[in-house]
Amino acid sequence: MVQAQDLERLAEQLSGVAETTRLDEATAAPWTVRGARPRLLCAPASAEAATRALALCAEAGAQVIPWGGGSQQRLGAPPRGADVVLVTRALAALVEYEPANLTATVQAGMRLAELQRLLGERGQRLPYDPPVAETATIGGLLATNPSGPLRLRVGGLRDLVIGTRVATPRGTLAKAGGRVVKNVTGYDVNKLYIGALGTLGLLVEVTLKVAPRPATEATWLGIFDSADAATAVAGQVLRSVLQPSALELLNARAAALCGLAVPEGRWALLARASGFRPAVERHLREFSAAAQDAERQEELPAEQGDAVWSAYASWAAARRWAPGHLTCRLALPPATVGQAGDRVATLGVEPVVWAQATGAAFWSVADDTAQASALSAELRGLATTLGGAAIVENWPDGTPDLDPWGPSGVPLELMRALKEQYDPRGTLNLGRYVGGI
Amino acid sequence: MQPGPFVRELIDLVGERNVLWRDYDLLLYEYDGSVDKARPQAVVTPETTEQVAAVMRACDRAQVPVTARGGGTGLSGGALPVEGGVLLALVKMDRLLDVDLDNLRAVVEPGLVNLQLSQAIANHQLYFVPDPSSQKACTIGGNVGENAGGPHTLLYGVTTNHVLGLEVVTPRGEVVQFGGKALDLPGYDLTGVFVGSEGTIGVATKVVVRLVPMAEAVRTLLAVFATIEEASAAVSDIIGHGIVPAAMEIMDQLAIKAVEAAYHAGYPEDAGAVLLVEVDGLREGLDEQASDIEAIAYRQGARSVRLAANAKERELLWAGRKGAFGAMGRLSPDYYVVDGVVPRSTLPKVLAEVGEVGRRYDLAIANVFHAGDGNLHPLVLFDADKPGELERVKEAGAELMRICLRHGGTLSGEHGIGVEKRHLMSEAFDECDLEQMMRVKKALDPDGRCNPGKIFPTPGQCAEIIPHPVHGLGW
Repeated sequence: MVQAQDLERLAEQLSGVAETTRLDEATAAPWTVRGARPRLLCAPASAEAATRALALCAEAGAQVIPWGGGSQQRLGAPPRGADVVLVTRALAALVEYEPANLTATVQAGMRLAELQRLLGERGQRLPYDPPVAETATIGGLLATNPSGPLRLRVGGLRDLVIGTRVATPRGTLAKAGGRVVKNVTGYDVNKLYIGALGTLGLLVEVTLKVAPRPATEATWLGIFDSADAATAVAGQVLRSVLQPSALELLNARAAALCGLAVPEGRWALLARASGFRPAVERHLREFSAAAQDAERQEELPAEQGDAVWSAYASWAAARRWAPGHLTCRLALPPATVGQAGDRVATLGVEPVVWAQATGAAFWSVADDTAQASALSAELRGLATTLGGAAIVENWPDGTPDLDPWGPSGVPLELMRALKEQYDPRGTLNLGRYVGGI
Repeated sequence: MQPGPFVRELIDLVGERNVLWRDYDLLLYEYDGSVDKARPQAVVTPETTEQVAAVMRACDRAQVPVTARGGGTGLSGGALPVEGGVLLALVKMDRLLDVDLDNLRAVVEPGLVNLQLSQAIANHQLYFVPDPSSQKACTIGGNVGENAGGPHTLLYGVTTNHVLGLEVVTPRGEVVQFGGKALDLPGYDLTGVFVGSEGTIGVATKVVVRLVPMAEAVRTLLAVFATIEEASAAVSDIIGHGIVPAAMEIMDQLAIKAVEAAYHAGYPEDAGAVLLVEVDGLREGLDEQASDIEAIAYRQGARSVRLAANAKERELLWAGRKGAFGAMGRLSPDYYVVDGVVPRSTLPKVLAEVGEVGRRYDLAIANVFHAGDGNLHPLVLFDADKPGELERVKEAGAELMRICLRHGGTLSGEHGIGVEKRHLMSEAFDECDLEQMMRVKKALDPDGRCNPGKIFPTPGQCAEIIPHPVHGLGW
């Protein structure tokens, strides 16, 4: 934390490079992260200004919270401090888009929704559909790394990001990767930033692989008496020659939020096929054949199918971050999703459970029972037993003793060594990431 | 001749049969698939992770460099021990440890040969996607080191997209885990950073890979063009039409000539270029895609378009492509493979400039490349016995790299930087970019133990690589 007089000096310096606002108790409220209330808001309008601003903060020993759309700021442990919010809203331009090359370069503050609109004008899309709010930005998405149903077919951000430019606390602007789809020119530093919660640098520009929009899409629904039975069907489809673009598992409450009537205690398997019509039709036939044991199954009419997917994305986004909710993401070996689903469906008070066949399972309850610590520990224990991990994404304020990340998937000492290299003064999001990094 | 004290220590750790130290044994390990050479002081062939860790600890104590080697097929000198020390040849660690059909994952040791993995799971109708031309000899560990690609990675991705977890021995000899069978575990994506790090931050001893079901059906087309520019325009046009084939490969006239002499793959020898396109997936819709591609090819000036009628014809078309590098021997005693990558929309311009370099240097250049992802492989033909010729070839190679950079591309799509291109890194990246990259090395291999002399530019680097004997050890 920076002393008042030093903060004033920092405010003046920042004003020289970017639009800077002093925040008081009232104006800081929307920028407050788990109790950490920032005092300055800085909105650089160029990559260079962002670099200069971050360097000034680092020199002053200030704590910086990078901010995209702010829709996922509840993720992670409470920050150790918050002096400056560095917001990328003035860095939202489309830098380069070559439809024939299937790549697009955008500034980090561009909203995903806006990018999809721009790509849509040329019959393309970013094949990436995480459950996030309309305000979510590309930079914020890289930092938090959520995935949506399309992860199944085309991978996640680690598979789509081919280049980045990052402002470093040392005051440099560093490029990684490039605008080509295949690249082994030194370390793939891009990977370091994805899912790192902004702890290693401030993303200012991102280059992504884009794809043609599918010619046709269709949606199929199967109802099963257990998550395990539904997952077995999903597994059979995944091991076959089929290439579904989504396979999602929902408990009855989650299905209801999508506008689907599923009896209590039952599970819905929602599948989507995309591409050329004859291939899509074949998928539907094969889904149906694989689901002999389903209680009920049907192909949804096109408009209903689209409506279901769009409802799914928006309620899942809202649900993940709703205040007063406990939401966990389980990262599981794919085949264990059903087992996990059946086990967690009864935990807590009427949880909403939804999962992707790639192994990401979400579990959410409105929690006013102060049970968040105990429930999340139980979920973490289960995930660990199944060979995965549990991340507590959201929890009611005031929950005691909660470690949002749990054990790291890579050795902590190596992560600390990287943090020391990239952010030696602990300027960026200190304390929020895995292991208190 | 008796082994020195350090070699005796290595022998104590891994046994006599796993240490080579006599000059004539070391000779076999002084080269890989690149044009340079460097000799280690000892070669160790560990059989277990524990042995790798023990050797790393011994090397760390003695401050000896360690260079990992898989099949030795790398084209950028990644497996050359340019500063001497221990060469860790991982060929004996070649087991397929776990085939997990439910999760579509396999766990393999690094010395397993790429094609052997795919063959071992073929009865389940599964395969490992990356298919470098050297797949009969290259190892999964080497694929991880170089982030290997191959013709069929256009639609399905390269090695980094198919590796989800690693067991790694750190430069200090600790055994650590990165990632696993589940996606997006908490923490930095060190698996993603490790893939393509050319053995410079540790040694992978287990690799968790993704297994992918084989496509049900496939259509392979050969389009014949008068010029390479037309063929590359067809590539852009196909992608522009929303079709992303499984593979799109181009060969120019010189390459066709070599391939025909060696394989009789049925490429017309008078053509300026051939474009090999493959689409796969479900039977349904595949013929429509193939006829769309055919129409586009004709629109871009194709002289003829042929669809492989059966598996045998398809294999023959691919044999020509996969054997193209080797076939160069029909035309020239030596060839130098250049690996560069450009945004695919710039291909016609870039290829014209490649031809220009060949004329200027009076060197024959054949082009065989992954056109779909803009990954060029100019093959510069030469005779190494002619004095000064290799230097001229390397200069021409550097010029080809600069063409790629000028057109928004970069230095390597799949072969890596190794020793070969490190002097060009400062042309692809500025100092800040390189510093940011080097911080990975500083964090994970602070003493520079793993594969020193790779990737990063060294000031005043000379063209010839002389191994530095590691003094004071008594090898």
